[in-house]
Amino acid sequence: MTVNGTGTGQVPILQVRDLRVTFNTPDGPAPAVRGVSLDVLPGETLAVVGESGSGKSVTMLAILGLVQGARVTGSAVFDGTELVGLDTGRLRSIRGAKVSMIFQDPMTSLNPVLTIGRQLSLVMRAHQPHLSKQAAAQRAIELVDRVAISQAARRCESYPHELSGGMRQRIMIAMAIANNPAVLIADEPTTALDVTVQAQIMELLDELRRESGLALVLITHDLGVVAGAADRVAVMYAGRIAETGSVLPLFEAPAHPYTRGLLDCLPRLDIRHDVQVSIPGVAVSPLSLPPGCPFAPRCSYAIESCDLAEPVLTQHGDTMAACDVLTGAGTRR
Amino acid sequence: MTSTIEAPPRRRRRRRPPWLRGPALVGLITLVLWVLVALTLPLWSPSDPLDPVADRLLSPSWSHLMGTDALGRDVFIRALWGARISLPVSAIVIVSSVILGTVVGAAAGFFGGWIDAVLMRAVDITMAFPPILLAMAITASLGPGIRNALIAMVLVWWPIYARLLRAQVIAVKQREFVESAHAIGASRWLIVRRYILPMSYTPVLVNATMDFGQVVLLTASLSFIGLGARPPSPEWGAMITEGATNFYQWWIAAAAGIAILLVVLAFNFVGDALRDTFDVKDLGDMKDSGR
Amino acid sequence: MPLLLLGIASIVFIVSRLTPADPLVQIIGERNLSNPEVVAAAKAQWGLDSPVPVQYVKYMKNLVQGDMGTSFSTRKPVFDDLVDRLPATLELTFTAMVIGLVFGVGLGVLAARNRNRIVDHIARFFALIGSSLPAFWAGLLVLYVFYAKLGWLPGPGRLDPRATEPDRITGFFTIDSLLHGDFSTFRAALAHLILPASVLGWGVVGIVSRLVRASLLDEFSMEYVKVARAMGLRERTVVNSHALRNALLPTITIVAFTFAFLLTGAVLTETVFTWPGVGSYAVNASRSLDFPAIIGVTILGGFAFLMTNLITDIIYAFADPRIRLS
Repeated sequence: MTVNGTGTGQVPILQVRDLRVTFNTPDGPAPAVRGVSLDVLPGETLAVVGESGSGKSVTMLAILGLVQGARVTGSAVFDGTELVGLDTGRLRSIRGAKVSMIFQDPMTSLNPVLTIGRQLSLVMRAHQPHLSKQAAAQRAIELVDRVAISQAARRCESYPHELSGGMRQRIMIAMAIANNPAVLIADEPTTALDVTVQAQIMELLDELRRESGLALVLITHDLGVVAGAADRVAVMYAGRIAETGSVLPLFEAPAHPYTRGLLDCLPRLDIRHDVQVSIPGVAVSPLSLPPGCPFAPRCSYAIESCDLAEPVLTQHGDTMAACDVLTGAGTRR
Repeated sequence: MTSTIEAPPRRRRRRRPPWLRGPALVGLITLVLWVLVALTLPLWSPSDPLDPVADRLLSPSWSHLMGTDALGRDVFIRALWGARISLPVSAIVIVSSVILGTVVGAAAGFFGGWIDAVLMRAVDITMAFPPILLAMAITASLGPGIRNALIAMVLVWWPIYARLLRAQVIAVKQREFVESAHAIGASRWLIVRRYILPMSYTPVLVNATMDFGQVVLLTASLSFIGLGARPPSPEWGAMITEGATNFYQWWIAAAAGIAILLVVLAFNFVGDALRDTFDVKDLGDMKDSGR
Repeated sequence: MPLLLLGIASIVFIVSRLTPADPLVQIIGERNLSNPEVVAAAKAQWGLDSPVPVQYVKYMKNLVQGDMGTSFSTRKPVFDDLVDRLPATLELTFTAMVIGLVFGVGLGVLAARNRNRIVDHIARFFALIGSSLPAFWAGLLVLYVFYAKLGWLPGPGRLDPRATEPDRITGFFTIDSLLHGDFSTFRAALAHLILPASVLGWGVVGIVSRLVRASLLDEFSMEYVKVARAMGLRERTVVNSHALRNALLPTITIVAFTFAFLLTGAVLTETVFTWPGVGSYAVNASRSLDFPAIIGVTILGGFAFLMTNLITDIIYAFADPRIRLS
C-alpha cells in the first residue's frame, strides 16, 4: 500500500511502514508514534505538519536511531537498507552522510569552542576517512560559500557566537550537505529565525534540493512555510497521520477535520475575519489517548462511532485521510 | 517544539527521593550510629580511654579488637571515644561559621555600598590563605589545644558562608516579590526573615553537610601536627601521630584512620544526595572567586 | 591586589602578636628567663623591645624590601629558608597535580561515558575515597604497605639518607639530576616521589574526576552534542573533540581551588614523608612558635594562592573563545 497519493510510480528513497515509537516512562508506556507509514520520493519536498506532541519529530529521529529510552518497531527502508534495528555502526555511517538532519535552534546546535571550519571538517572526515585535513578544510570553505555566506575563508576561522542566527542555520545546512546526502530532514529549520531570514533559508534549501536532487523532509507546524515549499504534505496528529496528499489539493480541499481546522486558523487577506479562529481543546498526551479517533474530543464533526475505533487512511477525493465522517467532497466553507 | 529525543517529562516523582537510596542511606545510617555511639559511650564503654588495660602494643585480638597502644590502652575503644571529640567540635565549628557567615554575608548583600565593600574585603583577605596555614598560624599564636584549634577553624571557615549568603541575598533581593513586599511597606527585617533567609538555606545546607567532613579532617590534621588536641586525648589525629611513632604497629593508626574515613565518607554521601535533591551546582568555585 | 597582600601580611602579624605564649622561651631557653641581662640582650637583638606598633611598621618596611626577618629556630633569614625549601614542595606539588589531572580527567571521562554502569560506580567510589581520606593517614598507609611490607618503593625523604643531592640548578632533584646526566639519582628521586605525589594526587583525582564527570554529563545533554551524533560522528569523536573541550573549561577554574588543597595536603604529606619542603617548615615553625617563620610561610601561602587565581583567570580567558574575543 503506497501512501503516495499521486501515484507517479517512482521508487521512494525512504519508505516508512507502520513505525511505532513507545517511550518507557515511570508513568507507563507512552506511545508517541503509533503506526506511521509514508514515502519520500527522490528530489521532492515532503512536509510533515503537526502540533507540538504530534510525534512528527520523533518519527524522523526514530528512523535515524536518535531516540533514547524508547522502543521502536516497524520498518523504515532507506535505499534498500532497513534502518529500524540496524546496528549502530552502520546506522552511524548513514547518519550525516546519506540521510542528514538539521534542527531547530541554531544558537545551541553548534559547538561554541570549535571554529566553524573545524566542525565542518569533523563531519566530513567522519564519513570520508581518506580525506586529509587540508582537503577537508578547503572543502569546508567551499561549503560555506555554497550556502551563501560571504568571506567564506574568514568565516571558517570564526566561532559560532560571532555569527548571526541565520548564518548559523546556514552553517548547519552546510554541515548537513557536506557529504552529499540523498535525504535531508529539516526539523523546524526556521522556527527560531526572523521572518525575512526564514524566507532566505527556505530558498536555500530549495535551491540545494534542485541542484543535487536530494529529497527534503520538512518538519514544521507553520503552514505558511508548507504552502511555499512542499510538494506533498503529511498531517500528523497524536502519533498518526491524519491526512496526506499533494500540497495543492490538501490546501484547497482538505478532507480531515483536523486539517480543515489548521487551515481555518490561518488568517487570510481576502476574507474578513471577525473572530480569531482556533481549534478548541488542547493537544492530547500520549499517556491518555482516548479509544477511537484521537481527534474526536475536539472535532466538531464527531459522531458516536468516532469514539469506538480509530479510523485508517483511505482515499477521499485527492487526498488520503483517516476519518470516518466526511462531508461530501470536503469543500472549504 | 524542540526535537524530543528523550522520554517526555515525568509528571510526578514516584521513586523515593535520593535521600533514601543507596549510598545516601548508608551514609545516614553510619552517621546516626556514630552519633549514638558518641552520646552513649560513657554508659557502656568497657574501658576508659585514658587508662591502660593490658600489655603494651598487642596486635588485634578478640579481646582487643584493634590491639593496644604504647601505653597499653585499648585502641578500638579509644577510636570510639574520639567521636566524642571530633563530632561536637566539628558541629560547633560549622554552626558558628554558618551563623557568623550568614550575618556578615546577609548584611553585605542586603545593604550593599560601603558595608558590602568593607565586609567583603575582610572575606577576601581571609580566603586568600590556604586554610590549613591560616589555621596553623592562629592556633600556634593562641597556643596549642583543641579549644584554640576550634576558634582558629571558625575564623578560617566563616568566609565561605559569608560569600554564599551574600550571593543568595543578592539574587533573591532582585526578585519581584521582594520589591512588592517593599512596596507594601514591609520592614527590611521582615523581608530578610520571611523571604530571603528561607530561600537561602538550601545551598547552605548542602555546603554545611559536605563541610562537616572537611572540618573533621582539618581537626584531625591540626591534631596530627600537634596543634589541636594533644595526648592523652583520644582524638583521631593525635592517635595517628602515635601511630606514626609506632610505625610497625599498624593497628594504632589504622583504627583512627578508618574512623575518620567512615565519618567523612558518610558526610560526603549524604551531602551528595542532598545536592542532587536540591540540584545545586557545586559551590567549589565560589570559594575562590572574589566577584 | 597589592593591597590584598599588605592586608594579608598585616593580619598575620597581628595574629601572631596576639599570642599569650612568649617567644622568648624559644630563643633563650627557660633557664635564662630569670636572667635580666640575657633577656634584655635577646629582646634588643630580635627587636622585641619596642612597642608592638613600632614592630609592625618595622616589619612592614622590611617586608616590602623582601626581608621577612630571621627565624627563631634556624637562625637564618626566613626568606632564605623559604627559597631553600620551596623547590622541594614545588616538585612534590607539581607531580601530584599532574598525576591528579591525568587520572582525574581520565576517570571522569570513563565515568561519564559509562553512566550508571559498574565502571561509573567504581570510578566515583575511588574518587570519593580520595576526597575523604586524611592525606597524612593515607601517606602512612602506603608507606606501610609499599615500603615496610612489600619493599617495592623507598621510604621517606627525597633520596636515601646516604645519597648525595645533585648540584642545585632548579632545586628539583629530578630535573637537576637529568641535567647532570646522573640517571641513577634521577631514578632514585623519581622513586621517592611516587608515594607522596600519589597520595596527594589522590585527593586531586577525587575533586577533578567528579567535576569532569558532572560537566561532561551536562554537555551530553546540550543540543550541539545531539547534532554531532545526528551528523554521524563517532561517539569517541563526540566525546573527545566536542563535549570534553567544553567540559574542561570549568575544570580550569577548579585548578586554583585544587592548588589550595594541594598546599594543605603538602603540609601533612611532607610531615609524614619527612620531605624537606615548605610544608614541614611550617609545621616545625608552628610547633616551636617561630613567629617570623610562621608569618613568612603564611604570607607565601597567601601570595601563591593569589598568583594561582590570577594565572587561572588568564588561562581560562585563553581557553574559552567566547571570552577571548569580547
